[in-house]
Amino acid sequence: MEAFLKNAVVGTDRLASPLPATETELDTLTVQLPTEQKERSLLLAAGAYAIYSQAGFAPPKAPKIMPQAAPETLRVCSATIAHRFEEMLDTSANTLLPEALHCLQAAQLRLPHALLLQSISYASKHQELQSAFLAVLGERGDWLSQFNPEWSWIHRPKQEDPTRAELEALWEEGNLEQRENVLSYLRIKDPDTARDWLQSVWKQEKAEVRERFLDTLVVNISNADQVLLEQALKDRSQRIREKATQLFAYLPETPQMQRIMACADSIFVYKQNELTITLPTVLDSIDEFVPALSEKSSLEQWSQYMLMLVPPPHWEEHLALTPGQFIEQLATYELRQELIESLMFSALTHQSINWYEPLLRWSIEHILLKTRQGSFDHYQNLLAALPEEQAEALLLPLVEHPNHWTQAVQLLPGPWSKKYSQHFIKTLQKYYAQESNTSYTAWTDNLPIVASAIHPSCFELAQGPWEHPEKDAWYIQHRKQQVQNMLALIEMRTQFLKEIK
Amino acid sequence: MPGSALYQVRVDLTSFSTQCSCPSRKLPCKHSLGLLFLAAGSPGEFIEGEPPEWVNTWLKKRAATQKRQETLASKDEQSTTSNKKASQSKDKRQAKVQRGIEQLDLWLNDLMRNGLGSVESLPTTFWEQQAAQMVDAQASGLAARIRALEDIPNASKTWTAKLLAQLGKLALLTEAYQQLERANPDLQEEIRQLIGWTVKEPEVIERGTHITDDWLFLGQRQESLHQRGRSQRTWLWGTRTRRSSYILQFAFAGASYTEHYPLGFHQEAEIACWPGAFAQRALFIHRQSSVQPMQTTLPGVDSINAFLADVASQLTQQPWQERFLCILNQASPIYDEEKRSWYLGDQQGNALPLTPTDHWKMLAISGGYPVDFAGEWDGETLFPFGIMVDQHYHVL
Repeated sequence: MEAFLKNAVVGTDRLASPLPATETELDTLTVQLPTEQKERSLLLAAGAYAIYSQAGFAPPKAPKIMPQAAPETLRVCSATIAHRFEEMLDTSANTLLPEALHCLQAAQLRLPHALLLQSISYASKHQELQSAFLAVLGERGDWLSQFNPEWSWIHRPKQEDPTRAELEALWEEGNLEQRENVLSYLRIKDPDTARDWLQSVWKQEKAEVRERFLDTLVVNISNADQVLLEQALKDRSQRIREKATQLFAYLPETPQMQRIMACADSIFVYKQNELTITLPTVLDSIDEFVPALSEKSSLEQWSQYMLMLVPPPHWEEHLALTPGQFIEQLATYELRQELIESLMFSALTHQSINWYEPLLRWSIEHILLKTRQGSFDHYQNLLAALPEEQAEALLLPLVEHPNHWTQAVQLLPGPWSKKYSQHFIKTLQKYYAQESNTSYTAWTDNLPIVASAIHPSCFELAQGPWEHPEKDAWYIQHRKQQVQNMLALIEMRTQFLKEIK
Repeated sequence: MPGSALYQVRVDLTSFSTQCSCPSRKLPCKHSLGLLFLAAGSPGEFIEGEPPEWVNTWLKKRAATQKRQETLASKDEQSTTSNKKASQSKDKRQAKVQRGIEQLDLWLNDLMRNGLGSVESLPTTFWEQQAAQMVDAQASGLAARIRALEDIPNASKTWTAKLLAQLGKLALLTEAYQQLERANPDLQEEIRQLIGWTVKEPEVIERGTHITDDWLFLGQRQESLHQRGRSQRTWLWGTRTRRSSYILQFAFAGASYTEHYPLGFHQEAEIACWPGAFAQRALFIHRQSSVQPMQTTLPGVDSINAFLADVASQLTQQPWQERFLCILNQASPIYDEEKRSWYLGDQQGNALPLTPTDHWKMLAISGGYPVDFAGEWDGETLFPFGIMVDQHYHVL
């Protein structure tokens, strides 16, 4: 085609050269074309050459042949299970995926190869499910991931522990992420070496690098880290100084924390059955350890910071109050919500499990049931650490409130016990029958989670009856549809669990 | 359907026609599809019995409609052949087409005179107006080819060569029409159809070649008709006659296609092909048995060279053919990571480029092992339809 292209692009008006030869059998035909009809001859010759080239197309040599996948070691799940699983990859049913993945792994089954692309694409966008997916992708999934960098989360080479020399080389020559990984790895295996290595480079690293490295100290932190933390407390960067203070909170026996606790004791005083909160009388250069505080700080700042830093058991011991009593005393203050949240933070930091239940009980009653608070991180973490029965019992006041049941769903997304599931469904059916309960988005957002959370023994109960008000309003129809969608999800779960047994 | 009404769902397994009493606007609805899947996947779950009244009524209605269409077709045939007015109308159209072709040839010559370099900046209306003129001239085949040209400029590095090739083929077609009497009757038929002379279905039944075979339903390709709707080409392969055919369907204004074909299955059926030199387009006359999943090796060729030799042979019979069914045994999908390009390789070390989209699903199913492949070749790239792995045809 190149032969004719020049004439065709420039135009016969400007390029009056004769029809070029193609050095093919076609030339015997093209020479017969009328020379006086330049345009027509060019078109016919080009058309003939196009068909000639099409007929004589020579295939290129194949690029390097790809390696072949290793044989599978797991059995493939049945076609029915695969079909159900495929349905769950759809956004409307993806709340069912964690349970399905768990069941597949427990049954030592893998997904069929035809479903791998959809599954890998889904998991690549849902990081929280990646480890569960890894177990069901089989050898083929592992093999496939080597060809696409976006799927590198699948292919984790099984390697032995790195040697000291390898770690040193990475620490000396690696990029920031690799060096951070070395420190994290060493904090688990050999915390002293990790600290020594960090100490040796502390002065020469940039502030943002120091900050990231400092974060690794939280694992296996001990009094041996005190010197490095003291150095960090004197850092030019306020963020690093604040981080160091937070890390000191894990070391209540250090002099720094002892001084903080002494200061805290001068703020929170319990006398004659009453807790008083005043500005500190014992300052003892405390602002050196808590950069956010100074002599000019307000009472609110002092009290919140102290509650965040001091381990909760200290209050039990020092004030001779139970967790519940201390919380009740704090609750008499106008700033109670902020104070209790600071205490929650500290309870989580120090894993003071006996504080979880009273903190949650008070917060659910006085914060969640009275406000529309959106952030649940602390609550979820506290609830997750409690036994199932205790966590569910704490949430009952939310379940039993028609405007707050959705918070219970968000805080404890399942799986639920049989008793709690029964109670939840019956309560929902009651709300469903109330015309006034018209929080449409709440039903749309939360019913799929309910469908995935309820105990399998309650599937039948969930079928109804769902009696709605005898009114043909659009919102009644809408809610009816929402329940239908939930029942469809429960049916999907039923079928999946039945098939995988 | 938890908590919802019961629907009356019926399917005809020989034609895949369905009907359901549900209010779904999607056709076929999910209930019909579910029943079809169940019938295909677990035929043992069904027992034979007397159809209920509502199924009988539906079947009778379908049979009556089909008969009425056949009667109409035969009447239509009789009346057209005996009607003088129709003959006059044909002459009139002939003249119109002739004028249209003369005008098109002038337009093509102008393009060559001014050069393709000027095409780059032309608006799309340039092509649309010329296509509209061909519609007015009742040469719809030429109009479609001109509309397809609209997509070529600037679409690739080699667009000028592609455009010249298509313009050249268009010129060859008008030339062939002008010298129709020099072609054999089959090729004359083919050229007339390519220009836009339609052959209606009754005529196909009457004059087309009828072939009874066990047909494999290998794949489908859908194309947009430039904001006018879409077309769907379903490729079949006759296992005894070892020939390919396709069924063409059109859908306009967002409507669904009227027929649904079971990809990955085979069925004994009689088809009638449109008359022509290398007749491939066909319609079903009678689908004789229920469908069965394809479970054996695909009846393909062993090398890319063998396939391309067949393409060359087809082009000698119908030079304007653009699409070819490719069935290749023991072929491997290949991904070139550096160029981010996909290929299909054969056992001789040759390869054909695949369409420039991702083909991860095919790679995942094959695992890098050779598989039997079916797809459509357009002269530049292969569009995959499906691969056979472990006696299961995976539609891609």
